[in-house]
Formats: sequence, structure tokens, C-alpha cells
Amino acid sequence: MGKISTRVYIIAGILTALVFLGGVSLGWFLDYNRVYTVESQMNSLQLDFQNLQLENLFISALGNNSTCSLYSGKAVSLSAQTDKLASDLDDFSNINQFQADTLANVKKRYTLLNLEFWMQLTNLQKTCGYNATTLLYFYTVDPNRPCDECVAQGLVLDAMKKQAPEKMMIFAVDYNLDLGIVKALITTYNITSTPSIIVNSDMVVKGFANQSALGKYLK
Amino acid sequence: MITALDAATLIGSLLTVYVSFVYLVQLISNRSRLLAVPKLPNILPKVSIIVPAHNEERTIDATLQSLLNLDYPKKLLQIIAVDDGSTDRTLQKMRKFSKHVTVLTKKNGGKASALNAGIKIARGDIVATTDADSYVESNALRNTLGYFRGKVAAVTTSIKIAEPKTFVQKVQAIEYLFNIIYRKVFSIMNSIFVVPGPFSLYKRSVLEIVGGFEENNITEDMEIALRLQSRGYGVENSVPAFTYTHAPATIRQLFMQRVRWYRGFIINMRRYHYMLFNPKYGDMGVFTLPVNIVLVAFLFIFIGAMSYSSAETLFRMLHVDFILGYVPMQFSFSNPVLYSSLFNVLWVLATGILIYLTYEGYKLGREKFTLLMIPTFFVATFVYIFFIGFTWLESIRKELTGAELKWEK
Repeated sequence: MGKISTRVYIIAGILTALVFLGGVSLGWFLDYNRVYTVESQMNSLQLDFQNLQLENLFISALGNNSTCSLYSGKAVSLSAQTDKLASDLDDFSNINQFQADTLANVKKRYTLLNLEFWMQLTNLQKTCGYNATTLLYFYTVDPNRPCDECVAQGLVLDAMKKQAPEKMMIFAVDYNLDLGIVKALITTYNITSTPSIIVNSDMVVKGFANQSALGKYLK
Repeated sequence: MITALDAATLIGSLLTVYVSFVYLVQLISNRSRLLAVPKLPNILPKVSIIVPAHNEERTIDATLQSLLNLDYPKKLLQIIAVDDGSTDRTLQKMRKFSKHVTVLTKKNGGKASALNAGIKIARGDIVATTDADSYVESNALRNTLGYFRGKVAAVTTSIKIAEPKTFVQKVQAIEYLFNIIYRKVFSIMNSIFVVPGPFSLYKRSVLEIVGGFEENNITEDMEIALRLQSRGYGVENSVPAFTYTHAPATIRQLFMQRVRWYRGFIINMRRYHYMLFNPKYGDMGVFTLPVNIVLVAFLFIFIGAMSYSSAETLFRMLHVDFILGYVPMQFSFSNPVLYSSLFNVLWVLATGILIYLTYEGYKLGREKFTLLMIPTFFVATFVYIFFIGFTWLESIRKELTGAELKWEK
């Protein structure tokens, strides 16, 4: 019988187990941090949005007609915050292994807030001639059925937004999100595929649209 | 969501970490043994050194000269140069040394047959073998002979690349330094399964008992190691005994050499399959040999997973690019910690152990690690693995299709 280094195998096994547990704990901790990051962003966004709504109400009550100018200034910065949160949510959903449900809930809350924001701007377009173009963009992020057109569409929208942030407001919505309002929008506007974009709440662009195709809708 | 591929990669990563820890623990708990050399016997043994050569006119001079420079009593040294049917000037060059070297010439029959021809006329208690493109340091014998005690039948040395010039040779130079550590750890675990050609020593009596080198084996140095171990003999390693060998200079040459090595591994593993998972053969049976086989399997999974995800990403990038009609170059810097996952943690740790072992290899190999070596080190660690995987595939293909067995240098 040859010599077997049982002691070494056990020590190495314990060290590997410790590393694995350490890795899992660190992974959990990082997941927790990611969730915490998006939740904080979400909370601050919600506060800013509530504040904007109150300001809007206050100014309307005073009979002041400056609501549109107030919005055009603040909506741009709010929209930058929503964009950051949206991209973090998508990135983290791909990485997180332990807190998928919490992230999914944050995503739902984010989508609701985003849609509320969109509706408010849509109303203002009608009531006081708010002059930025609103784009409600439907995409999918299914890893089993990747939507390359959606990736391309996202890049086009990002590039356009960078060129004229005050002229367009983009609201991205995950087509597959299990929310009544998302389903209602899909049915109302008859959206059957992604990418699709509802422009200014009254017309739908289906399939990938390049910069020049979308450019003609900008006010 | 964790897919089957993720799970396999995770198990592979954990196994790699485990194996690295086994080596690390062995290394740390045997630190005092790493450089220690056992005392030479009071009566020095007679040593016969056999140099088989086939078309080695460019290096044979320096090889024989390095043997003549060995710090060992000349009357106890017998150097046998065996010309294995060379068609160049190897034989003439050997004859220039005929005052101190016994020159044999024979029809070409392969390295093992040349070694066996040398053994037949060897008179030493110890038989050393040296490749005709390798050189030994003058203290190589004094640093190895003390290991021949009890059941020890062979002693291996530390091998370094002689004058690495091309990038391919520089990458191998790092690999060889790394192997200095592995060979020592394997010797501590009595698991050496290759007695390398550049310079190794054997007890002549044992070589005669086991029947010398197997002449039709493409990796006779692995076969003899397994035969010795399977019969209960020990194989030791002496770190301070340095040997320098010429390495393949091009990718093609390296590919041919490695295909021979790995195919030799497959052939010899089939032959000595009964040693696998067999506690009778100690650490070698229950750990070293099975782990080598399992790690090759995980190498394929790892390479497959990497290739698949890279190809998919590239395809999608091209597709998006095709849809867009142009490539928008966007760089964003995100917090790397916030974007890490469990896999990153395991890989960082495995890489950390790897870097530490390489550092130890450099130290034992008396080499200095400079910043200029970082690109080569990067290639040796992270890119070379793909090359190794590809050579393994070719070796398996050749073995399955029964391709002709050739001794490629």
C-alpha cells in the first residue's frame, strides 16, 4: 500500500470549502449591495418625482401657466436618473444570483414610475403644449431569445438622446414584464413584437428604426 | 440563472482550486525539503551517462562538453554517446570526443533503442540519460546521487529552457519554471510519472530488472516512470540539479511535440489503467493520475464554454453592428466590485495561487521576475491553455483514428 497524504487532502478540502463559502458569501454580499444600490436610486427617483408632481399641482392651483417650462427643465435631469437606473437594473439582473425576486420588484416599481412620468408628459403635451417628443420604447431581454434589434435600437436611442436631451424623452419598458398596465399598453397600441416605439402617445413604430427614421418625429 | 455549462464550469473551477490547494499545502508543509540535498554516499558510485543522438550536429558538442565539465571524479564517469543512425555530422562530432567518450553507432531505431544500446555497455551502478540537445550544470551529479536510497530507482532534475529566443520559447520557459515546482511536489507525493529526457538518473540494477526502455513507446520517459512506480520503486527529484534543454522554437514544432506527449499519456494511461484510483499506488493512484485526467476533461469544458460565449458575443456584436450599419464605440467605466460574481471570486483566487506557485517556480529556478515578462506571463497563463486544449484534441483524434506513431522531437 503506497502512502496517501490524507491530511493534506483534508486540509485542501477544508480550504476549498472555505473559499467556496467565502465566494458565495461575497457573491451574496455583492448581490445585496447591487439591490441596495438600485433601491436607493429608486427611492431618490420616487422622491424627486413626487416633488415634481407637487410643484406641478401647486403651480396649477395658483393658476400659473409656467408648468411646461418647469417640466422641460426638471424632466431632463429626472430622465437622466431613470436612464441610469434602467441600465443598472438590466446589468444587475444578468449578474445577480441570489436576489432575483427583489430586483424584479424594483424593476416593476421603476416601470410604474416611468409610465406615470410618461403619462404626465403626455398630458402636458395636450394641455400646455409641452414640446419634447416622448418615446415609449418596448424591448425584450430574454437570454434564450436575444433581441439584437433591441440592443441596436437602444444604442440608436442613446445616441439621439445625447445629441438633444431636451428634445426627446425616452421611456424604456420591458415587453415581458408582468404588470397590468404594460399589458394594457401592449393591447391598446397593438404591439406584437420588439423593438416597438410609441411616439407621442399617438403612433407606433414597429421594428428597428434608425436615427433618420426617428429623427422626423422630433419636434 | 445557472445553466448546466455554468455548473460544469463551477465544479471545474472548484476542482482547480482544490488541486492548487493540495499542491500549495504540500509545498508549504515541506518547505525545508525543497532545496535540501541528501548527503553523498561515502563511497561514490560509478556513473554511466548515455547520450542518444539522432541528427544533433548543432548541439552534441556542447552537450558532451557539459558532461566532461561535471564535477565528479573522471575515473568514476563513463560517457556513452550513441549515434542512432544520424544522416548529418553527429557521428563525426562525437568522435572528436572519443578520448573521453565511448562512441557507439547503430541503425536508426528510435531514442529508446539507442538508450538500451548504451545500457548494454554501461558499467556504472547509476545510469544517467541526457538528450543530445541538453546541457547539465557541473554540480548536477553531486546534487542528485544522494537521493538513491532504499527503493528509489530514479532521480529527476530541474529543467530550464536553454537560451529562449522566440516568443514561443519564452512562454515555455515560464512553463518549465512552473514545472520545477510541480515536479518537486509530485516527488514529495511519490507521484512523478515522467522521468524527463534532458537529464535523469536510474539505478542500473533496477533498469535491468524491469527490462530497460520500451522501444516502441512514443513517450518512453513516461512509460519507464509508470513501470517503475507500478513495481513499487520510487522516483525522486532534486531541485538544485539544473539541466538546460532546447525547446521548440515555433508553434508548429511545439504542437508536434505536445501531440506526441499527450498521445503518449493516453497510450500509457491505457496500459497502466489499473493504477488509477488504486490505493496500492498511494497518492499517484488516488490523486495525481486521476486528477490529471479529470482536469483535461474540465479543460475541454472550460475551453468549450469560453469559445461558445465568445463566439455568441462576437456574433451578436456583428449582428447589432449589421443592423446599425456602423459601430458606436462606447466605453463606460463601472464599479468593478459591484459588477463581480461568484465566478470572478473563484477565478481571482485560482489565479492568485497560480501566480504564487509561478513566483515560487521563479525563486527555485533562480530566475528574477521582471515587469517586462508580464505579457509573456499573461500568454503563458491565460492563452497557452487554449493551445494545450487544442493539442489534446489532436492527440485524442490521432489515438482514435489510429494514426501512425511517430517520435516527433
